[in-house]
Amino acid sequence: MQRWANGAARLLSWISVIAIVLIGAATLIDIVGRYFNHPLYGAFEMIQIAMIFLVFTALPSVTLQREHVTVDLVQSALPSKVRRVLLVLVGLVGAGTCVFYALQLWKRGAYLERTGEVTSNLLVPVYPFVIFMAVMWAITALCFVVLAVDDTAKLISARGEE
Amino acid sequence: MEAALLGLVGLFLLLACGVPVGIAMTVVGVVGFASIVGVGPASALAGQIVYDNTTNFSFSVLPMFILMGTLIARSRLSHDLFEAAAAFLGHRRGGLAYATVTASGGFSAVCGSSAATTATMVRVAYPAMRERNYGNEIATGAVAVGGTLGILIPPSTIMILYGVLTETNIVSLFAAGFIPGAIAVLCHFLAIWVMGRLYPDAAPKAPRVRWEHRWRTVANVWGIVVLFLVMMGGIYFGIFTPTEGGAVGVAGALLFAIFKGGLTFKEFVTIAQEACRTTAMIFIILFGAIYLSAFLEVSGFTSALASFVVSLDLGATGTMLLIFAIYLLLGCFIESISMMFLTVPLFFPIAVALGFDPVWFGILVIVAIEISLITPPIGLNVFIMRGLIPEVPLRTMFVGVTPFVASSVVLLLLLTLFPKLVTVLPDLMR
Repeated sequence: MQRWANGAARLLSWISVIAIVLIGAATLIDIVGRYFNHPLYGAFEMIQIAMIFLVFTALPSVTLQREHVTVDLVQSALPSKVRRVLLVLVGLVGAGTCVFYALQLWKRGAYLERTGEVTSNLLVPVYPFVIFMAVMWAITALCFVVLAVDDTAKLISARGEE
Repeated sequence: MEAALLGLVGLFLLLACGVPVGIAMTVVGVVGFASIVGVGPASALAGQIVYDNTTNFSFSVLPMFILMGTLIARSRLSHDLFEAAAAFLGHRRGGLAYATVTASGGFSAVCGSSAATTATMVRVAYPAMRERNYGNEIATGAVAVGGTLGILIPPSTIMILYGVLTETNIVSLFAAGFIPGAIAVLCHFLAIWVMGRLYPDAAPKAPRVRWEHRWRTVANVWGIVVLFLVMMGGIYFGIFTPTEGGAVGVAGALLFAIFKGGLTFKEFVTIAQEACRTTAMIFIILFGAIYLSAFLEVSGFTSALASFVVSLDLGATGTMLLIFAIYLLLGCFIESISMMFLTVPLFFPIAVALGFDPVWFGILVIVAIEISLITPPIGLNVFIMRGLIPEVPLRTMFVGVTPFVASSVVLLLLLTLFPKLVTVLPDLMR
């Protein structure tokens, strides 16, 4: 399951690469264009939208590779069995939090669809991007679940060895 | 008030259990906020926090400077910088340690991260110092403290975060980092000089280098100078915004990485993915921090803390020293970006209440965070070095950074007592 999840996360992280290149390119084209009185129309909004893709398509990889910042206050002093149980619980707390964010963004997306809000220059509807963030939060929640399952498996096999 | 204290206790419990910082802050923020204003309004905030901050244009500068730093690290510029600095300083006692700090300072001028600066310089400077029989302590200490310059000398990711969080002008912060950065280099020089006197065997002299060779090494670093001048000059003189400066920097760094470092497409993708992951990681902490500070504000904790500290009547210097003491203590346990997000919403109102210059306060917070990067038990720079040179024991490294912790505290005191050192450049620009 973890291998499958890693593969999917890697595919998603390609989108983040495209987004970061787009931000750089749009900015540079805008600077050069400005000197010829042809700034890139809507560059500002393109960058804002690209940021959504950059951050949220990278999120599953950050989670699966356990790159979220944690504070090591006492864990290293705990017995390894306790540490493993904590790891499982941490995964579940992470998943729960992401589900919370997913639901809230979904609600906001639905609300923005009803009000029909669009961006100010390019007049693109806003709600699909908000729904996209909701979906990515849900996928990140799944990644936390994958980690928790993986940690549970390790917990069980460690007990078997004793 | 009780809710806030309970919340903070809960936060530390969650952190102690190993819950990621951003997640823990979100949990406490949501639950605490809901206990005061009700579940509906508290949850509704989530959509707003996530959407507004992700699309906040000021934050788009972040992935640009992160990507630039990683690309620069891939080129040979760090090597060239060290060679040049060593050619001028190497023949003095402890000269290669001076060269390490100098080259790190130069590298920091095109890289906004302490982690990247440390990781890059340790590969170049540490082997060179070992070759000349430098002691492990002074060699690792110089690299670790050189790395801290990454966030003090502009560009700096931490400055960007502070700027957006407190609505302080990022360009002013960048300008304000210069003089303190130069003074920091001098303070660390002093520490090396003292260590060279005390332990001459650990800091030998390298042979003197001829002037023509020196100039040749200087010619090699023109790239970094041009990149810095174009990018920072453009930002300072208002030719482009910080984000645009970042994009220009990325373009320049990309050229150097391709032509000097032989960067391949595949490597570029890996580097870009890494930059995106770092950005995403910061955003998660950001969302949590905003939730948490919304809760602390509504509960009255933030204003109560501010009026408490003001009522202590310690005077400007006394209050600052108290705040820094808290930073140094927290820095022992919390990593730099999380510390920034956790503390600035609490301390910034105090600084404003006492009439401090937000730019000056920001630079001092950054210096305090710098110290936390090298102090045990979790000095991040030391752990980065440990990952790259596992043959040196952690203990040796922490012994090695001790004199530089002292020189960093001297820097902090200098900037507290003479605020002009920080504010003179940004004031000139106004």
